[in-house]
Amino acid sequence: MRLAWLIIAVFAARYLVVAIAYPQTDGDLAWQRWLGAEILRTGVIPNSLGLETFSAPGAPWIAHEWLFSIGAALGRGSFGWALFAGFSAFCAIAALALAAYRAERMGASAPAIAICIAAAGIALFDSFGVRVQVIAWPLIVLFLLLLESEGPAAWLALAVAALWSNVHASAALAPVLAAVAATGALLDARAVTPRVLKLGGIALGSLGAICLNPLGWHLPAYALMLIGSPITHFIVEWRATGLDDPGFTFGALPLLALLILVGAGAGAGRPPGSRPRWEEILIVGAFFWLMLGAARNIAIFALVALPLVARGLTQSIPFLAPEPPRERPRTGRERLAEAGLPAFALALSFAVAVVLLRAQDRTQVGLAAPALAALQRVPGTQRVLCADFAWCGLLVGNPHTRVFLDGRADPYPAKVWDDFIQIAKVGPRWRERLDAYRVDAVVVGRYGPLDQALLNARGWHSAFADDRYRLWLRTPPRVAHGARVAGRAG
Amino acid sequence: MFLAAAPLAARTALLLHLGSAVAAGRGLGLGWLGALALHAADALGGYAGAATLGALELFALTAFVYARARTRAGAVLALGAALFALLTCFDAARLSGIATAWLGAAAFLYALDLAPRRSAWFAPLIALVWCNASATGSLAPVLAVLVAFGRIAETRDVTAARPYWSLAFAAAAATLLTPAGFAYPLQALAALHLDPQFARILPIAPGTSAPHVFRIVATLVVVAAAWLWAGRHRAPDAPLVLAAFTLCFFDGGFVPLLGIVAGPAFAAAARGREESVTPPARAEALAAGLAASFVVLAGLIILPHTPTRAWTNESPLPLLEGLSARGGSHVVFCGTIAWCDYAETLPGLRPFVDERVERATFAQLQTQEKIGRARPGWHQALRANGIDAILVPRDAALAQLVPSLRGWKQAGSDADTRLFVREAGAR
Repeated sequence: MRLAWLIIAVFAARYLVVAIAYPQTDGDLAWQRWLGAEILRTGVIPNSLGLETFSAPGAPWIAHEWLFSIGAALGRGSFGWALFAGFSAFCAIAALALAAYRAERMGASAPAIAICIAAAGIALFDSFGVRVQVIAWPLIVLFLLLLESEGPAAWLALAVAALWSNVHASAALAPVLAAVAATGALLDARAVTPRVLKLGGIALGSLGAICLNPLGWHLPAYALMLIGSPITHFIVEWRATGLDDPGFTFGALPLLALLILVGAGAGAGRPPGSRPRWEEILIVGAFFWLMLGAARNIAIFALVALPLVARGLTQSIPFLAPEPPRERPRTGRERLAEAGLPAFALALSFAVAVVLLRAQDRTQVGLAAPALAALQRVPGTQRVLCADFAWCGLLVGNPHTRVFLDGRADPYPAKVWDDFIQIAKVGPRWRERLDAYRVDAVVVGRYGPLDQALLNARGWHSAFADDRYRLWLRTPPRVAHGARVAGRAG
Repeated sequence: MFLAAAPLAARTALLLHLGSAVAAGRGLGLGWLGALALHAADALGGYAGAATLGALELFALTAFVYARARTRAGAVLALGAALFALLTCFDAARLSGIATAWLGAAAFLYALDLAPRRSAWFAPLIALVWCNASATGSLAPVLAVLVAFGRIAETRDVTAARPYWSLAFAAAAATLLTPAGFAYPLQALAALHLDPQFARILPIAPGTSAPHVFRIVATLVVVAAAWLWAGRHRAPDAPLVLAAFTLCFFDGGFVPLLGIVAGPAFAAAARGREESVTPPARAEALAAGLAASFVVLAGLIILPHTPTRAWTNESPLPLLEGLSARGGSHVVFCGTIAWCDYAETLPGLRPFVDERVERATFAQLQTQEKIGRARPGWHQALRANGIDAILVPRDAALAQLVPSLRGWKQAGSDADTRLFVREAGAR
């Protein structure tokens, strides 16, 4: 495992720096902070959208990120932020470490685990950030790890499912995974064994466990609703996985390639060359299916597939086979090498951290922050549409703005989504829809289709523009009215 | 389903391969033989003729997969392999005759399996026909090399691959015997659209170009590889399956190739695991055949039956015919590139870029993307390239932006499309 720890240390540096020094890569954190503050202020989790939006106030909302949002609200200060963001990085690191441990338990060798950790670590890049789904990653791996236990420890999976449901709606996967594992165990044994019954019991128990949160049964119901929801077509993270996702191309795809080349290796307790357990294979198949459907699942597929690929490599390539037990005492050089490895890992992770800190722009320019700041200076209350709805997440809770759509995304009705897409993509009757909602401020990417359309539209003027963004405001009616009155008087 | 799809594939293939010019310049039709066969079938039997040819090609493809799998795994597993290959062809039936193209792959791999017997030398001959029928023929030597590597991995003996090296070399030589001559390999590889820049303007992502079967097929392959391939059973076919699997992520048109290589490979691996099992009795084989027929029937019932207009990309044909009838010459920009295949065949119309995008220059592809997505400078690009007709989907941003351009007006529309032309004399 030492080699694996070396790789994990390098990724740890990367995750920590990205989490703490580059706090916002999407707009979710802003509205989550607002949500957390609201919960702390009122002691109640909101169950509907409020007046922070003008397109769907009162729409039902399952705020499944409530716990994370409280953390985000508490972690506003510099020290609090370091703790909160650091915890997010810790969860990604813990997920990798748990996956490595799972691989070791399956009989994978240290070099094989290290190779697979490198691929999985890259697969995590795209989705990583101070984001609620990252907190769920180690819980998913832990849940699978416990399912694989032969003893009564497997029942602890129910506690993990309950905790998971308080973190993220993906907890609805827990009963499904346990059911898939039970099916696999049934296929392996070709009989209803105690293990099949236990996994079936965990599947049923998980159905109850994922309701042990303030949202109760509404959480799994919400997750089920999301499966068929048309809004997933409009959200980048829900698009089908492809080669344009670097996390897939350079992380998950190499793992898949290795799996196809070497297979998953023999199952625990079976001789090399024999088949793996269906229980393991079906779980990987399920996560592969999920990954193909949505790019947001690339990371969890990599974490789940890692142990099987590492075991396949270990059993197929003699060079990667586990070292036989040492029969002679270590030489001085070997001791030095062993002691040097952790030191090298630390040095490397430090170097990675320094390079990252120097390399990237740490401002919030990517979230249209300059245009949104200009909007704050406009007097009165504005009804705002952001061409990228995530930008409007920064405006949620602002007393002088009400947004069309923001990063909360899920609770907005399909009709609002359809209208938003038609406006943002300049579809037919975009102008009528913009007027029907009485939008009076639009934040767009400079020279994007909507920017060009507004340039040619009457009744709008540019209030702010820089290289990347523009803020359009509706020209006040009194100007036009004044012009008409002047015309009549003349 | 396949019968219905075949003439559509035929029609598109004809337009693609027999068209003489695009704005990108003149070039040789890489699939001239395949297009000629489709044209002949269409001329002789019309719809029924083209449909029969398409069905025969699919039948032949499935038969080659079955034959290849049967020698490795017996009749029952071979039937499974053949059904799997048929499933992978489902979406390809609408992809410009790509199912036709993969018949060459199935036959070529079957011939390779005959090595080291002399009959394996049919493989280069098959490669010769395949190259002249489709650009995918350029893969013949690559497949032979991958099979050679597989044999080395299986036997751990480099000499075991010797027959395949010479077959690979002969197949490579055969790829030069097309009207394109020495230019064929490069032109054909370009025509496979492996360069990611093509994915920005063509709907070739697997979720789009193989929407019904890609996810199912890819998941089956991953599960089967993980479960079946242990020890040396995996070795001979793993490189082939991996190559086909990876290609699918570049272009969903490669999904049939995955079916062709993975079906027999997994059948052989399954057989390798169950070597002690006695060969199936005739009754068992019959039962398997019946079960397979039910699977096919169920598939035919469940999967969509009616090719939609989106499948055929025919939507704006009357608009283009109207534009052609107006007289004069027009350079046409198509928001959906496949529409411009039709523009190619109408007098007076010249597409800016059609589906033979590999013949376009990099600058033209960039311009296509710039205009199609209304990126900054798109209207200057229209002028610079002499484009005076634009055909775009109704819901595209371009359809709302063009009317604001001076000198442009709508010349026609249908339920899905709007046609704009630049008025004479407008700059």
